[in-house]
Amino acid sequence: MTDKEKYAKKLMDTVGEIDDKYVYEAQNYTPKKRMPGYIKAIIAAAASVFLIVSVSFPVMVGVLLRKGNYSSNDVNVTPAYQMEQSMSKSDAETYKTLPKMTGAALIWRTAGGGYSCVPISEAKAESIIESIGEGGEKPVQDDGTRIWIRTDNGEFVSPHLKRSPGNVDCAVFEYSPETAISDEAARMIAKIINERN
Amino acid sequence: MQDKQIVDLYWARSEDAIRQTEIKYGKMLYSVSYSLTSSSRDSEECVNDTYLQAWKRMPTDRPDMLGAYLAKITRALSVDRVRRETAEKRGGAGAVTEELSELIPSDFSMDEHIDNEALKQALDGFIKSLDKQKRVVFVKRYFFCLDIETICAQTGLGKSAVKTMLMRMREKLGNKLREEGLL
Repeated sequence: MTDKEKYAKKLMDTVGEIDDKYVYEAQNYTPKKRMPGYIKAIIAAAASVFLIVSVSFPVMVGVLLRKGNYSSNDVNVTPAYQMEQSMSKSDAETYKTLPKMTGAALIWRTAGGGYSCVPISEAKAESIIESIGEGGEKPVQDDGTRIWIRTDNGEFVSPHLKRSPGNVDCAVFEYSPETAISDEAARMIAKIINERN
Repeated sequence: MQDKQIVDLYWARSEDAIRQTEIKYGKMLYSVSYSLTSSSRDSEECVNDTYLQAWKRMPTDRPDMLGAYLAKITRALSVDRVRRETAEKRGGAGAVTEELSELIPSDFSMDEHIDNEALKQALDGFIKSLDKQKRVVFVKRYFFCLDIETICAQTGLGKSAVKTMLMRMREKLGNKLREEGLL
């Protein structure tokens, strides 16, 4: 018998003398129950649905925002690039004559369909924006007038909607005829228009 | 019957101790022996010898885990029997001994006296260092000499997982024995 065989025997004998607790442990070992296949399938399916929804929801919202179908505070969003498309032919022609807007401005459409644009200070734009939502909802006659405030940062804010991430740099909010602006905002806007005239 | 009560019967020199041992552990001891000898006759004899050994060792010994205590006796008796009768070429014991020899270099020279106690301590330390699942697989293979399929069935692991686990544990054990100057 070689030394290797002798040592292997010795090792085999020594394994036979290991602590009782290890022998007991191996004798009484019960493997953890494996999760049945159908449970795994259900969990996988649920995880997939969750993943799809969690990824697609923000994307969908973004797409809707761009398509103008997103409704926040019951208003429709019209992307800036669709602004002209949504106008009548004559309105669009007038709209094109507006000076290029590079800073804060007040833009309005009169009941007759003419568009006007007045540059205003950023502070003025901010103060109008701050107060436009405070008038609450009350029935007003829709005579076709529309007003937007453009900020220095390129935001378009309609009088009935406070600023939100959705309207930054990408959209002009349509005017909601049911929503009136606050008296303070109306006073400030009227003052700007009157000064221009 | 509880282990403690059976041990008390041994200590009281009651012959009922062996009957109760057979009822509670007879089948388990038979399977331990059969894994090593692959022979029904040898296994039955080893189990009967186990009862005799237990009768002789108690009242001196008072094991806390009677099943493990008896299994160790059965294992030792079975290994001896296999060695005596077939020069270790038959049964699970031979295969397992060969497997353990894989961690020993072929030019190994056992000139020096190997300290049995040091070897036992190194082995206990090694087993202790394993996580529970690996430890169980190791003991099932090298103590109980169970074949791979049986270990898979008892642990819920796959065949290749068990084989890989055993191979890595042998390597690790070899390294530990070398580090401690026992190989």
